Amino acid sequence: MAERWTAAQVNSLAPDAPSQKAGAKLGVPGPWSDTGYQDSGRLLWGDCKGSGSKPYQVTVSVADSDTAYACTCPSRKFPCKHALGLLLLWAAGSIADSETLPERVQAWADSRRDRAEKSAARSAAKAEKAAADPEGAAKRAAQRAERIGNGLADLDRWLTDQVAAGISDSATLSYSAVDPVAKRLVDAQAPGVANRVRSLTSARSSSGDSWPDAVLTEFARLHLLCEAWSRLADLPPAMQDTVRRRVGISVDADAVRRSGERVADRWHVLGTRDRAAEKLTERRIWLRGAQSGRLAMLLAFGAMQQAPTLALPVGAVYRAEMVFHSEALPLRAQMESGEVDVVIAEPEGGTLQEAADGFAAALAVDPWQEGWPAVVASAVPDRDGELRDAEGCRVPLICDEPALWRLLAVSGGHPVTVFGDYTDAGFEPLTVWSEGAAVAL
Amino acid sequence: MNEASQQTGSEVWPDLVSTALVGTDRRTPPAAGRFAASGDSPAAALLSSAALMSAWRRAGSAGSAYSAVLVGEQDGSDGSTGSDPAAAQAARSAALDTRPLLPTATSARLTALVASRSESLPEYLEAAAKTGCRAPAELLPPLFDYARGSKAVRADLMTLAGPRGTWLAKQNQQWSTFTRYASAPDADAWSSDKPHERIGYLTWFRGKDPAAARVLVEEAWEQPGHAAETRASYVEALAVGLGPEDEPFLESALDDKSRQVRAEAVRLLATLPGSRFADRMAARLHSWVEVATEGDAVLVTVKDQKLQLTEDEVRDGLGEGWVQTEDERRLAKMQPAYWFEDLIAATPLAAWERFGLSPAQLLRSTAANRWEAAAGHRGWRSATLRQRDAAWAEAFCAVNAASDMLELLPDEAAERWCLGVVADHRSQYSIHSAPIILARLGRPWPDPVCEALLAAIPKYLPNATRNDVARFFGMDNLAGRWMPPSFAPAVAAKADEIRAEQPLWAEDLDDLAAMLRDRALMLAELDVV
Repeated sequence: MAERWTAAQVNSLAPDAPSQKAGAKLGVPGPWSDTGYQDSGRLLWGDCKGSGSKPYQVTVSVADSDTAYACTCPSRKFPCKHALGLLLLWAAGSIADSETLPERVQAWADSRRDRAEKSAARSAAKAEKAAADPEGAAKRAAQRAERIGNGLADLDRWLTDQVAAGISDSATLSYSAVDPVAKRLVDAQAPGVANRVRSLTSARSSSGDSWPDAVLTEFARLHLLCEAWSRLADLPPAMQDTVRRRVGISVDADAVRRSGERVADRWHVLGTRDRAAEKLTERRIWLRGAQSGRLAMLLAFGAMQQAPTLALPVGAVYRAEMVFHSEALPLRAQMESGEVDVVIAEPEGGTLQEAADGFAAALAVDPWQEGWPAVVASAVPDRDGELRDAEGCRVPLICDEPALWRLLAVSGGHPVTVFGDYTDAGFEPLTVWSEGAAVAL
Repeated sequence: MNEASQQTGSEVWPDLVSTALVGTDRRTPPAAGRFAASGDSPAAALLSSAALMSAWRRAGSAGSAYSAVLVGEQDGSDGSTGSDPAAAQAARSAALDTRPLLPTATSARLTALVASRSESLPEYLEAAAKTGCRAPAELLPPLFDYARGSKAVRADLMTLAGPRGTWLAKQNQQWSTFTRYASAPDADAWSSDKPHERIGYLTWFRGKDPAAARVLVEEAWEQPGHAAETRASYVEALAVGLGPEDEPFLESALDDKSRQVRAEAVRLLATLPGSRFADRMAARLHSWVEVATEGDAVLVTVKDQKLQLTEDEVRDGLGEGWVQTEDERRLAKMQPAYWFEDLIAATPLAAWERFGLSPAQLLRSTAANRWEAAAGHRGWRSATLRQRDAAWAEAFCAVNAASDMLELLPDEAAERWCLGVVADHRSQYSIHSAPIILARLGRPWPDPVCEALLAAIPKYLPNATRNDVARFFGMDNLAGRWMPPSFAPAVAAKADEIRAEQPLWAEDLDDLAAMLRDRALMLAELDVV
């Protein structure tokens, strides 16, 4: 039997803090009736009494890689508070198992299956079409490559012009100066570079006295990307894919599934992080193979006010095949449907020096890398926001106050195992293990 | 090889940055040595070098503002915390808590209750604290933040949090005062440089060994460096387990140079029946004040309008105006009997029995003028609160139910008072206020009171609107919070009884019953622990 989620895990699905609060209020049996849970289909349903005369009908699919919600309430939040309340109730073990589905739940599950099948058929048809017309596809790709090439050439000219004239003038990186450059790159179909260029303004304003270092670093990395694109054909194939991804050419998930490197293992979910980015919520989930020791990162997006549908509980273990994207340094992956496996108590960790070495090695291969995931063992956080490992090395912690206090509370000044993202500015803690249980920060 | 190639990376980088700031048109880029990279223009060459350099810097060059600071722990840097390394270690980490963790379901419930800042959280914390389990550490920060706004939950919370909570509370300025509620403070708290930690320790220690705690206070008196405010708090801490053997010390504190300390000493001495101080005050009351009755009217008069107090009388705090504001004190000084309020506030309330009147009768008394009447009332009020006198508190509640007075009521008196409130308000216009007044009691409503409230329902307001119904249970559904969960069946039965005629009422009663059932369920979860 698949495990029920924990309350903390349910809360991580909430699109924002108010919905989390509202959901928690509904996480008691009072307003609920006709609830049930079918373990085989991982389906959960119930009626929630609202202010109107008719109760809201809530249905949730809690399949780990395919979470979905439906509710008859008019809320635009997704999942809505009713779905969250129902999940909390389920997490608390207050919903009885049932084998028979109510009619509406059955209909919903059927329509979802239909849609999944149709979309699979569509993507298969698309792939077939592409396969049937390799020349056309190649032509389109060449057209885009040319557009990107022109856009990046313009960007490189802009960069060198700025450096030739000097970047000390504050107008150089004002919004009005940078935005046209970014727009030009969007037109050139290089959205990844456009976003980087847009972040130049904030790199200047948020770096304090060291802004010249921050700006030159970012200029240099953009220049490197332009250089790399102009010599794309000379690069090794995996590096070519990395450059393409940095430029912003999205990867076709089906193509990855067909040709990506597959690694079967018991995958341990180390941590997840949500970040708001450009009208989207970007969720990253890091896993590590118990046998291979390979790191993998899953990426999922949710529209505004919606949580991404991919939700893996931190600390869980899946026996699954991971399909890696082609990259100079393979990390991003897709997980093929897996089965929940025996929980691993605590992941093995290294020292901060090893984490720093890991990040350095990652940078050596991919200079555009922002950070590298690492598990640090026997680490002690302190209230000044530093993490000290068993060897006495220290690193600043990058996290907000509530997360820092949770980390401190779980550690209690004792050594703990911490998972996080090691970056050049410090270590961003995401998960801490205490008494064998994982606590998401 | 030119000279520049001997430069280290950290020397090249500032050159690159300063050249970029000025512009390569005006300044030749530095020869970047082994970090030099080609480019068609000087600017492009500079950017290429910078790309190489910045990756090198980001990958871990120490001393750069951008790289992680990876420095070794300096031995001896913690020497200032104490010479004993074991003690320093103990301060740095929390002691082990051997109690079992709350079961998963309970923790989940607690997580949800904290997230929603639920009204039933205090009740749940109280019940959870009794299980002898400890709360999961990751829940402590949100719970502590909640407790910042709710003093009532702190004791239960600190019990649940255990040594981990004490340790954590010390790390954060905003939570540090919670340590005084800890079941067992650190042994070294008494030598802490933070007054609140010493006071917390003293309060705890006083509860365990009153005599030894008093000795600690007496010792502190001999040492310099204790602020008057802190010493006053030490005296205040003696209120726990106060006994006749504390009298000599308190009597000597009357000679303290600090007004705050004297005020606390007077306060405690007044609650020590049979103390020399209490006898002196009672004797003054009986010789200076007269109570006359005429039918129902009671008149309190100040017999002796003393204008000049003796030194002994001033030493006992007369004329100090302990509880008055600056303005009140100035006004009082203009009155002939300016010491009147102090006299009443510091005299044992039992001394009034001599006049043969009940507290209720005395509270209805009048005086020679308005100022004396008000001063008398204020004096009784502070005496009641200081001496925690239940009989006087009940008399005060009958007039005006302030929460500080309600806290002094014993259960049986509280029940009597509640029934009175419901009976008084059993009219269709005023019963709304009953739950609001009852909620001030700050504890579950007594069973007969709930029965009386339910009994009032069909008779109350035949055409009740939904708003009236909501008000009947108080604005924040006070009934849902304070009615004992065992009333769920009775509430549900009442709902069915009136459903035909009062569908709106019935619906609200259904909600109330559901709420009570939820609470019962939550508490039952804890019982199985």
